[in-house]
Amino acid sequence: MPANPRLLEISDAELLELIKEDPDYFSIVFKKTKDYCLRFLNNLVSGGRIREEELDDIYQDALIVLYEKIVEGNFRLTSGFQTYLNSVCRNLLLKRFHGISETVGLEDDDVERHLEGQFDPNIKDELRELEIEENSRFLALEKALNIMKDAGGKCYEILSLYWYHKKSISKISEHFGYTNDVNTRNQKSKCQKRLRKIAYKELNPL
Amino acid sequence: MLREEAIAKDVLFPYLEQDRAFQKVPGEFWQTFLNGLLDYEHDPKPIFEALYRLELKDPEKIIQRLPHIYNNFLEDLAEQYVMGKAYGIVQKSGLLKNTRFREHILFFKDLQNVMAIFEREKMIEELPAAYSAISEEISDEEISKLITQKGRDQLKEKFQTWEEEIEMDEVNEANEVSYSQSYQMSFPYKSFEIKEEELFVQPSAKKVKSASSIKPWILGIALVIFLGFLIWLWLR
Repeated sequence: MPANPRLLEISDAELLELIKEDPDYFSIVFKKTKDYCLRFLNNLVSGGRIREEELDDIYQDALIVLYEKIVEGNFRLTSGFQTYLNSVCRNLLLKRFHGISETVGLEDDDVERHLEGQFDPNIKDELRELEIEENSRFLALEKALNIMKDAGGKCYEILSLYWYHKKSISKISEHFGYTNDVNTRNQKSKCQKRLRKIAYKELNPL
Repeated sequence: MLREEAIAKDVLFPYLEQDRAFQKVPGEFWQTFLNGLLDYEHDPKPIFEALYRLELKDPEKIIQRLPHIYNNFLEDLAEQYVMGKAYGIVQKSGLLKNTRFREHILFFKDLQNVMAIFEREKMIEELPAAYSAISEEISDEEISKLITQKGRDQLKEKFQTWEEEIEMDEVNEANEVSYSQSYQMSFPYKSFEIKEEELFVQPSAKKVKSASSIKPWILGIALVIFLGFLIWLWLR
């Protein structure tokens, strides 16, 4: 079934509220902004010395920045999703090619002037760097989470809703149809303990 | 109740409930219990005293479980700390020097980061499919509602702007000007014709319906009266 193009007519303000309830609605932002954002990035690197895949990567990172800001409750809709994403894409592009910006054709003031209004220079947001530690403890947890995810069941989903999508306990109860928040809290706590156990086993095999 | 007090309550309450003599706790109990937990490793006596004061049937049973309750407390507090909450109490209490507490923090920080790696990747991969799914889930009617909401909001904003403009131009100074007149004066018809119809379709439709239904109704009564009159004449 082809996607309904009328979805793209939903306003940004309305979308923002919908995303807070259901992350699937974020896909509308993706659909609405992708082409224009990539065109904006292409114009920014008018020399065309950056590969398309890299621009794609930058756009995806910008989407993550926006999504995480929304779920953390820090996003204020001032200039619309498109302008916000263009601005973050520009920040990420400049950061990624910092030092070689001239080589890739990024130091063109005329281009920036030409694109004025399509981005907000006051938006300084960038991708939150994850504290990834390449030690055995971290790797064991990564493995344990994978095991939990592959095993199916609700644990992975409960933990991802809580730890990444920042859903409150009551929202998680609603999502799973649990009768009260105490049950949900207990369930989450059990899942965390199980995850710890699996990670511990990974770290200390018999 | 403070967040930290709520955590202390959450870890103890299930045990209290199991005691047959337990009825309720005095107002200041949770603050006392929280303070006791924060200092539990140095001096557990204040917690013992607080529990004895509750006059439970078997306080010893809970006291035996205190190491477990304390660990759960540290775990829950560490979780809140990693989520960016409960900073104040953690800093003040010196818990950051506590090895067990730091272990919990490490675990939750790692969990948060590992989860972000997984979910970021999953989200990017699934966005196109999620769009199709949403498209199937949400009906045309629901979309229309959402879009109309947008139109309504935009229109409200426009009205606001026009009202301000009118006030500035002193166009609407006379009170005799009727609502419909002033409304017409302030409405830039062409660009918003469709939206206006969408918004006011219900009341105007009702109006048209009632206007058109009055005529046959009056004619019907007139006809009945007229026929009645003829019958009366014939009977006479």
